[in-house]
Amino acid sequence: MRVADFIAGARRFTAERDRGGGAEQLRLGVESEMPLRYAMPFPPDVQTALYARGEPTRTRRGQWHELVQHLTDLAYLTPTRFREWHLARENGVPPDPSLLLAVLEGVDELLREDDYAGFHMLPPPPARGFEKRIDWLERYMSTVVYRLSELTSFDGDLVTRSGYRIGESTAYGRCLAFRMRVFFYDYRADRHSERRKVYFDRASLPQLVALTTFLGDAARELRPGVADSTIATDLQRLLVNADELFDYYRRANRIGPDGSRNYYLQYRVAEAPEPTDTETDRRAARLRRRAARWVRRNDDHVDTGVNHFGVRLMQLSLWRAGFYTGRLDGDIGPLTHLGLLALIEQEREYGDLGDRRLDHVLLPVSAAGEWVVNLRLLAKLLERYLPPPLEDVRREEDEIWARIREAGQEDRVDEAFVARQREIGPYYGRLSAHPSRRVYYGLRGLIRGAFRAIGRIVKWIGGVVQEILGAIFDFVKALAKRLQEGIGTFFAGFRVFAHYLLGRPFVSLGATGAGEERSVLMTRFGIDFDVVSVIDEAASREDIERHTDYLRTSREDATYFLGVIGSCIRTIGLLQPPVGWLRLAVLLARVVHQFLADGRAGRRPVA
Amino acid sequence: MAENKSLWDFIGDMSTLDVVTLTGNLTIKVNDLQGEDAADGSGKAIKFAGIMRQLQGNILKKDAQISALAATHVSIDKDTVTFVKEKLSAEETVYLDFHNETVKAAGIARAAMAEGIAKLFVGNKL
Repeated sequence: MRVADFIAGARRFTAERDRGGGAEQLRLGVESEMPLRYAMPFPPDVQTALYARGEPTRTRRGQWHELVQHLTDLAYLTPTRFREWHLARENGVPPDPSLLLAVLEGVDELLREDDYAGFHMLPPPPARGFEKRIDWLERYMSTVVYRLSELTSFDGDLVTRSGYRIGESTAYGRCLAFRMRVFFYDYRADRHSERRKVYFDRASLPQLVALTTFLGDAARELRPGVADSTIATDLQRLLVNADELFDYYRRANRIGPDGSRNYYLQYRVAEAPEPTDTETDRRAARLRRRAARWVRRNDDHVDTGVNHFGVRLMQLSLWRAGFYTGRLDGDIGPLTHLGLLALIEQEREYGDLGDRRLDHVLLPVSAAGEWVVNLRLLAKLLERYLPPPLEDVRREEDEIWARIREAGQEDRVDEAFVARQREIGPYYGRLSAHPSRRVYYGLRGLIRGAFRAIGRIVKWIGGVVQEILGAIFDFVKALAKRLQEGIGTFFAGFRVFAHYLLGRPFVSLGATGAGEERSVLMTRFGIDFDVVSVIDEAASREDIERHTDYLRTSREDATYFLGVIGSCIRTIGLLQPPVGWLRLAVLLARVVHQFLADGRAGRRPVA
Repeated sequence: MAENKSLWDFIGDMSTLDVVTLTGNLTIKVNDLQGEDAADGSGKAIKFAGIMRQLQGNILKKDAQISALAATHVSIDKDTVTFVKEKLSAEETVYLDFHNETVKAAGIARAAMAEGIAKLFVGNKL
């Protein structure tokens, strides 16, 4: 099926003529074509997603991985569970049922602890029955993950709380404890254990004091006192918004846009790339001499707490920009070094700083793997990757797709995306062996990262570029995230939509009777909600109760999903071909994202 | 059904609600109808087309006995009229309970979804 036919189906359905034909086209597109295009099973059930049987499941599995990462970061799951999850993933086997149960319990705990308005709009999850609980999570996965991603975001997505009390047992308390781990966890002492602090409490206050000290005079007034029972909202905001935190740090060290101070960071990595020819060799020697001068002229501040914290911030920035896939530990190792090189390389090719300045961001001090970073210049580069406001994100995303279309590559990316998603897999590393590494899921930052080098994305689609870190990594992750959130919700909602508005009957089968026969119980809703039920006269009371339960669950789903599915179908009907399948998914994902954001504000009706 | 009706007809339809429950011989052969994991009768992973084929075969038979058990009409002012088959047996009362539950569900679903549906068709005539 072509996208144009699908759009025509949506138009016919929403228009007065041939609504039935339009409904059939819509159903065909959603149930047959989209699952293949988006590697997303329809219906989106765990049996298909995690117990892969040759069905397209990659995108759906990705959302499970994101769920597990967020739950682990917020201590709803232990690091051991995280490791088990990724061990199963790497071995290509489904997670153990006990592991899935731990995930379910983590989600239940989140729902109990968090006062997120969007959760109040969901029907309550079933208290019992493994399959029913999994089904519930599958249907509402995008809502749960959306909220979790806010709680673990460094992009300022989370609203701070004036009423927060230190020590409270809430999801927000977990979120603050998570941030303390990110900024202060001592990996060198190897204290990685199951006994992590779950909630921010009074014992965490010294770390918060240290943080304000690292941020200099400007943050002094935010410093908490020993007897405080709350945390100033301005300080909370620094914890949930890395851009503001970074800004404070730059001002404290005078390496901000207006600061004139050169601030260098020297490190050694074991595996330094070797020069490949004479010219490169001469250039490297020249830069080494310059770096040596920098080192000589500056005071040595080796590995102070401030430096360590600064390295974490640098890693955090590189991670959010798609260049770093290691853990946020404050130690510069090969992955951080590679991230820096990849950033400079991408900016050299597509950025707006001249080569001469880029040469001075990162210099080799010696041929033995010693390097020095000019943090002032690095900050200038990284500020180009800060997640922009949502309106800018949409504009930049549109521009990415416009450039792909202009290059004649839209059909190609439509055809190849599912297969080529695999290319970024190795860059995540083996999370079972490195359970402290994290995948960045902030959509605004990912799109900004992709936007910085659209040309590279176009080349990658054309099969030319091999350098994945940076824009390509961001593009693939952003698109996968759009598919997970947007199409995941669209599919879950379309199932009930088809029952209520496309005339698809609810059908239940009774228990198996004599001669391998089973009773059929069928209920069909018209678009005007007139109902016809046909019940086999041999159906038992249990069969009828089960069918009634099925109808009730679907009604709850419908009250939640119908509005957004209606908006999605209307959006489809308004599109003007040519539009590719992936571009269509992006547009639907925007409708869904707005729907989820409205849930945060509690603007949707409660089911 | 509201296919091919105008929006105004549709809104008119929304002001009343008709719920009909029929009973009859609606058993089907299990073979070849389900996926490997769907034995719970939840309607999930059932080979839908196969069921419909069998049901059509059953219903269209000359000796098929499908009869109305109950029918309910709810008007705009919530006046409700329900017709129920005479002399319900004790076993059949469970069907009536189901019918009443369906009436309730349809009413709640319709009210809850009216906004979403209106949004879907806004732009055509509204």
